[in-house]
Amino acid sequence: MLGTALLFWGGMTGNALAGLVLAMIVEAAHWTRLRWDFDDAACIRAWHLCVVAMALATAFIWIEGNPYLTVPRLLGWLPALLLPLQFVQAFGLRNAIAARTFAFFTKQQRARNQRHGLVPTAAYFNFGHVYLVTVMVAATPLGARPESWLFLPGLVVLTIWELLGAARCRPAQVVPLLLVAGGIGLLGQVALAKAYNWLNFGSLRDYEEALNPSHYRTAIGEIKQSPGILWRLRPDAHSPAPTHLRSVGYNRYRGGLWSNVTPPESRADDSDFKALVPLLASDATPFHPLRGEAGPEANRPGLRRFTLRGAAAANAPLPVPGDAASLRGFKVDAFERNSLGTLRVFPKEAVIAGEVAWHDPASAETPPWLELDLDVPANDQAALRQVLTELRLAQQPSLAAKLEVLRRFFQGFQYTRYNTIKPPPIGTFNRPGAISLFLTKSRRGHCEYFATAACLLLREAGIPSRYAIGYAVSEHDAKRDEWVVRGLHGHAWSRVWDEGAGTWLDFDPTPPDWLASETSHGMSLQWLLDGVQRLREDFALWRSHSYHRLILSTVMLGIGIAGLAWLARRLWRSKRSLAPAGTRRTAATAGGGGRTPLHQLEKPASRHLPPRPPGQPFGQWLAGLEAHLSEKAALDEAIRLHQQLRFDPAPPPPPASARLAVLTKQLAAALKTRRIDSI
Amino acid sequence: MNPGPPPPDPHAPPGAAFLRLLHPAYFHGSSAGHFCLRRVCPAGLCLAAVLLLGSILALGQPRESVYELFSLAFGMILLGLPMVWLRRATVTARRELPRHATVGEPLRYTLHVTNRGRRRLRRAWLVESAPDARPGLTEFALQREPGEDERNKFDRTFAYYRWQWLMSRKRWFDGGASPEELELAAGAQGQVTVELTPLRRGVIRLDDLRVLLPDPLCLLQRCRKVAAPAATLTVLPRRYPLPPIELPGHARFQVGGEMTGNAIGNAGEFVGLRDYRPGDPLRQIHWKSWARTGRPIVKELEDTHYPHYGLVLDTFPNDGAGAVFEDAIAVAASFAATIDTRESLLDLMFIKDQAHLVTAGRGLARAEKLLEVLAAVQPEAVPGFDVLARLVLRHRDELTSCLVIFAGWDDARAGFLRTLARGGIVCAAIIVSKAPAPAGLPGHWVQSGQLARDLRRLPTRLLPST
Repeated sequence: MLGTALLFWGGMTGNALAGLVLAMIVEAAHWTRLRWDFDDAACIRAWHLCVVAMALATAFIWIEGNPYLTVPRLLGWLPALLLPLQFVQAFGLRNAIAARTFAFFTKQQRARNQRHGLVPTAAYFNFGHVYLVTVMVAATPLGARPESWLFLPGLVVLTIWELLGAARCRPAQVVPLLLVAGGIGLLGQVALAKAYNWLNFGSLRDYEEALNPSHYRTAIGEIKQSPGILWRLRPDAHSPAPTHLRSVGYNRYRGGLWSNVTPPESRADDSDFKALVPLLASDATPFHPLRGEAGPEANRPGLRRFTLRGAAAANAPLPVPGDAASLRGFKVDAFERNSLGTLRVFPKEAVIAGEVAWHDPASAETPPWLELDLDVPANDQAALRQVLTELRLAQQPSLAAKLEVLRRFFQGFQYTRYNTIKPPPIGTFNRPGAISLFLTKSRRGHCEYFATAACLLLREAGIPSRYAIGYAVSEHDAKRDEWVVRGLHGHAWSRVWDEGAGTWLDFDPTPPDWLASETSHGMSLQWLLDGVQRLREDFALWRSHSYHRLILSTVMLGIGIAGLAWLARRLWRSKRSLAPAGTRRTAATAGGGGRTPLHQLEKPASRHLPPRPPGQPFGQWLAGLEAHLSEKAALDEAIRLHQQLRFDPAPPPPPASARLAVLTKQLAAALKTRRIDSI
Repeated sequence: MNPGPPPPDPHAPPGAAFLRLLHPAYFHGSSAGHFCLRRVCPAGLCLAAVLLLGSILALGQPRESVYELFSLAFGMILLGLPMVWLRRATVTARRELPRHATVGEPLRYTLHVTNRGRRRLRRAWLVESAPDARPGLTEFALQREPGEDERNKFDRTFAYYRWQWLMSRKRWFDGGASPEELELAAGAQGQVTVELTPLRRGVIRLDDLRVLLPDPLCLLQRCRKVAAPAATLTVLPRRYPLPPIELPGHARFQVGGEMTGNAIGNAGEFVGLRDYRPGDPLRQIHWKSWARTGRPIVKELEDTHYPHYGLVLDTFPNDGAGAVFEDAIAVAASFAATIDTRESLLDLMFIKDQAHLVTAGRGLARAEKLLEVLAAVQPEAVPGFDVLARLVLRHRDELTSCLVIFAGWDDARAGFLRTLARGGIVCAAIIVSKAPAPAGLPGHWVQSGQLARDLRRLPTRLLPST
């Protein structure tokens, strides 16, 4: 049963080999007579081993990837991590382990109880059941593993199997009920998925659109910020740091949501994202120009440069300046860029570091697509026109002057992290949008309101603009001479088309004091978390070097082999062996638990005999059947064999058990049909 | 379980104000936990864990498989819940209990069950409920867990460990569930065996028998009370094997149980026949000899004399030495069960509220009487060694020797032993204590918690204390 569950786990999580090995180890208890007399102390040691394994796995997963996925990934590996305890359960002579094994201070508690003469309440349970449930939950394919249609049927089959193993369940009831429960599981899955989509995306159409990997979306009103460091920048000696790092660009605004829409020229392709083609620099190192048509000039010496370092997940956007020219030195499988300049990365390692060349007069984004880059929602149009009339933006002579007017206009607004704008309910006649309310009534909001409002005002004024999200580069670590980008530096701004220069410019309308408001929410222990994160990144980068990786692998393998050898030696020296199958019953009688085939006769015999008094030997009670028998030889022989199998210290001859089974069947059949005389 | 906590004791110490707030929470919390755990099967607990885990995962991992796992678990609960409500059982039962049980020794007894319902009863199991072990407010406020001072301030303030300790101390037995499935036709009678292990000495009142009716998936179970007459069971103290013991004292045999006869020669061992003398009781007449000789002949009996020992029990344990006291009881019970009361008399002497003396032996009572008394002995709050000494000295003329079982060792006990010695009583002392044995001890040291080991090592001839 457990072996099958482990194979199922391996199949579902893509760890087929690990599943097979674990299944072999666990099921080996049925094939071998090797056993160990594991006591409470051994259980505690096994649990400590599990804890150490889980701690190491947590550290490894944490270093390896996204910290938010640490728990699901750890859960996925629990069957392997809990193997020591299951080994103790499967190969131990006892069939249960104490619940206090899992107490944190077990040893101290035991010493304390002994000191004060206390007898703790001992609760014992079979860990195999817990392990089985863990394996079934861990079989949930979490992370990047694709879903399998076999998961639910497999789960149902395993559950039926496990429940039928319990003496109190009956197949005729369990199987149909579990099939119904499986149906409920299927319906529940669909309902929960729809509910999740509805709660998070408002409508199913939007959700399905959002699942398209070529799209990113953001929504007005949402703001999530963390004080943790995401990226570190170290500019060249003669270069300033960029003020903004763009992660994603958007071009369509509808109903409070920004999304990007593929330009007409790219619609024939499956995806707007195109892989960047690396070129060789003069020193023969490869670099990735961001513009498709760019050549070596994307890495020319006159460009500003900085090194960028941080954790990156596969398919995640990489924040770079809007006028970035090329990337160099990153250990990646590929970079991809879409027509709005959004760059996404497929890293080889969890932490990447490399050089970014920027301040390129030419932009990697496609020129304006006027149909969308001048598009304004109808319900916001009136408010936008009113503001533009007040600002007299059309009368300004140049783009710079217009932007300056807008910047001054937004100085009168208040930055706040909390969304206080409540749009009228759906169905209200001529319902104004959130931006209209922001511009005309509340005049307070976070950066997404400012950026969106600026975008729409510029569009209404006939200037193509887009919306960008990313990070503001504002925190300088003087001690290490580097710039630090945290989650709370997450920002939104506008990209404005400069017709004269033929490029896109960053325009940030948010009042500059927003950063002070954000950074005031830092945590007191942030320095400690930053230090830990730095250590993690340093280690991950150090390990990414092939030579270092080899050293590390060799050392870990050596420690692992040495540990396993030590463990195997100790186990080998303390091993026990179960008696062979033929003699096992005899050994079991020492504990009073030996059963022979004759015990199967107890129930049919109870229909003919009075209840067996407590303390009366089974054979003696069964001898009462003689009164019903004309031929007593079969019963006498059966009782004699029964006694021999149970109490004779010498191993009985192999046919004894078989002969007793035959006699028992004969007696049972005779009792059932009341044809006693036929025996 | 009781319907509610007992009313607060007005005599509780003033420092117990916070404990007075805590007590109802623990009291009702234990009750709720007991209620739930009895109605949720292990598979149901596992499923609850899966539901919880599935909920957490579903929040962070919106994946189909997580939803399927959660929905399957939820579906199983959804199916099991109404089915458990549909289970019905109308059952009566009668317990067939032995007279005695022993602490720590599994006890099996039979339940005779009758299905009074109109339908066949299937998939049902019986379970015996232990009496309510929840402590009252006064006990909770006044009692201190051994070593409680060593706990941190939080534990001392919230006293949860104290609650657990009191609960475990008051728990009567483990087990009580019948392993056999109950399957009875309507109106049929059957019997099942129940096994339980008593955890402490005393008299258990069994009056809460339940029938468990699980749903088909064995996730939840209905728990219905069974009409059964209440029964009591006396749990004797734990006894340990002793080597063949010779108690000290001179071979000064004492008058035995036949001294209760109304005249000398009326009871005892047969000596011979003699002619009838006026006043001889009719039951002494030897009818066969009268018939043979033609004159009345009577049997002549001689009073028998037996050694008469005292078993003195120290019922004054020091604070927090409850385990030592229980061990002292176990030692006393071991001696009471081992000393041959067919050929001797044994006086059990102890103080509880007043001086107690119980005699067992030939012609008086069997050793079980002493064990029954020991099963009910409780510690005395105020030491009264002088009262105990007066009790023993009052009977010094009858006693061959005394075996004194101490629950600890200090100057008061040493003084008590000296008093007995000065009174001319030959004493052997057994001292039960957690601490290691001091030098020059006037007796045999038995370490608490290691009774089996230390009692086995006792010499055959116990040393008299001087």
